[in-house]
Amino acid sequence: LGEKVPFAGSLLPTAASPDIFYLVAKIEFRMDQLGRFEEVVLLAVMRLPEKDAYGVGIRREIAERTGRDVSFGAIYTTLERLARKGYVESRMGEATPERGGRAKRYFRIKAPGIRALERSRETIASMGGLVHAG
Amino acid sequence: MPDERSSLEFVVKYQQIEQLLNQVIAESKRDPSEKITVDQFVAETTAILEDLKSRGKLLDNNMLAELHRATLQREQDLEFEIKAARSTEEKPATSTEPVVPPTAACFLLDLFLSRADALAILGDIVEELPAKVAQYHPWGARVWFWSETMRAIVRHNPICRWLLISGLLRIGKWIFGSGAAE
Repeated sequence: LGEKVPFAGSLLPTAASPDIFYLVAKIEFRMDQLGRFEEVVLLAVMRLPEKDAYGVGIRREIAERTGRDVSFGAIYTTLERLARKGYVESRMGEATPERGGRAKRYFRIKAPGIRALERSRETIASMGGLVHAG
Repeated sequence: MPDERSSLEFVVKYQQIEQLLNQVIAESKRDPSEKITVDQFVAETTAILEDLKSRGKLLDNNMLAELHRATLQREQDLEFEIKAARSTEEKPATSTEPVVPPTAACFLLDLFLSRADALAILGDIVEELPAKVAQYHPWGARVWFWSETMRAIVRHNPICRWLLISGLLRIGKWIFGSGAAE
């Protein structure tokens, strides 16, 4: 973590003497960061057209792009976490006969989600730069 | 002038036959179980040919013969294409036996998940089920359905998650703790 936490400001003490402010900053930093799977799900939601951005579409997109066959439980848990962070929003759609008359839940990425993806990409790029330099 | 008109009529009628051919092939691909036979196509094309013959003054014999030959050729092609379409459609039809979602799994999802989660997740699993039936054996699809159900419940219901974790801890304690106690 160290001194590169952008939002912790003066609250951040030295890493050698962690106190409550440091711990809060660390938790906030972790909450602000995107996990690998969160990033994949967020990218899938962003890529898909609005009519396909529901569980089945997202699952197929992830399977197609990454070759990983993920469960619906994992996708929905991640999407709910992203929704709590304010990165995506959802709405209930129409019920269709092939789903046994059950409604779809559509997801849409929000501006903070796009910013989080950009930050994540910048982090990866800077780390990639270090790899090339090293 | 009559030559131009007859040529035009020939083209129009030929296009009609082409459209009819495409329509019949499309229908046979859409629903292979439906009884669409070559006879139907022949009957319709014969009607068009009769119509042309009734106004035969506009068409010379060569054109009629050419049209007839083309129609016969198309009939043969049609027969071949319908067979090909049905053979490709029949493969998944044999593997996609209708599989009813396991009632108990649906009940458990309804029971342990919130209303919105149950609607969305159960709907997604049910929608994906035919693809899994085509991919695996119907029994494999049922196993997949149950696996998705249990994973969704464990991930979404804190009580079930707690029960699972505490159960695993108890099993671990029983396995490793009993040895230490002795």
